[in-house]
Amino acid sequence: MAKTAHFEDVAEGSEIPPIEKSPITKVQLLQYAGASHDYNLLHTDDEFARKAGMPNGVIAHGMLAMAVAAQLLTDWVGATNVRKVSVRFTAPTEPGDVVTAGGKVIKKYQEAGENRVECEIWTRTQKGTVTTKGVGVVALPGRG
Amino acid sequence: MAIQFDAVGFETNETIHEVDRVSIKWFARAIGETNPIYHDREAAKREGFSDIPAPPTFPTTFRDEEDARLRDRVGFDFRKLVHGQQEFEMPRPLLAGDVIRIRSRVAEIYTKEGKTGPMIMVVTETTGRRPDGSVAFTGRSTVVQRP
Repeated sequence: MAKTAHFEDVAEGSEIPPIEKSPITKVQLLQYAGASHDYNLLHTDDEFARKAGMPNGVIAHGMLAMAVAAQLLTDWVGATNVRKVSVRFTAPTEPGDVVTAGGKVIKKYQEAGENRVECEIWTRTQKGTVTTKGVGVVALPGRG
Repeated sequence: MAIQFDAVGFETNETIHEVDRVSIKWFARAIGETNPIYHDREAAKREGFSDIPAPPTFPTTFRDEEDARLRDRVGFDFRKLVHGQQEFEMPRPLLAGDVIRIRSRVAEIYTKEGKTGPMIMVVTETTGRRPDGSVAFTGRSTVVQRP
């Protein structure tokens, strides 16, 4: 599992190994509503969602897309090494969508006594729509 | 009800949340995480954790009556809301068993011209602290009220 990356192994421009998730389902949106306590009906009630202007009914919680962006980082460096996840929600995710996440290294630096790596991260659907765009910061151990 | 611009500076009362294994397990399942560290303590230990860790966006689950009070104070209309941006920072992951004291504050409210009219951006900052007062995580959320 994870924890394979070392600070020396990554360079500016290095790609983060991308991940692909199973298609989003309506049951998953109910599960996410319950697990996160976000009961906005936009995510679970088609009629409400259409009235709110979503032509195809419910859309996924933005935070569900962000969770995938975060998993990109935890799969890459291990859950213990993620310091920051920051995203802008750029488009909705709908049931049936297959979400993939990817990113690349922007900058390597030292902070708080750690080797840190700042990355550009994004999620998108199989239609090519970018659903989140942002920045992640991870700490990586050195080889020494 | 319209957005109350004078809600800037509003702060919630502190609430206490205990991070527990069952909540982490169901959260991980909902986000489609299959990594066993989120439900199997032995797997978590093999990865160096003293207990089950929480995924980085887990602090989003810390919603409570104080959060509801903040939203009422701001005057959101749920039919017109979208989540604009979200950020979480943490010096290390939260673990099952952690007790976190949480407080949120309305940091900023401003308008931005959108395609269909003015959009109101509401920025809320949340800080979670450990019993010794150190920061467990900070969150910054921008919620957009569409016209």
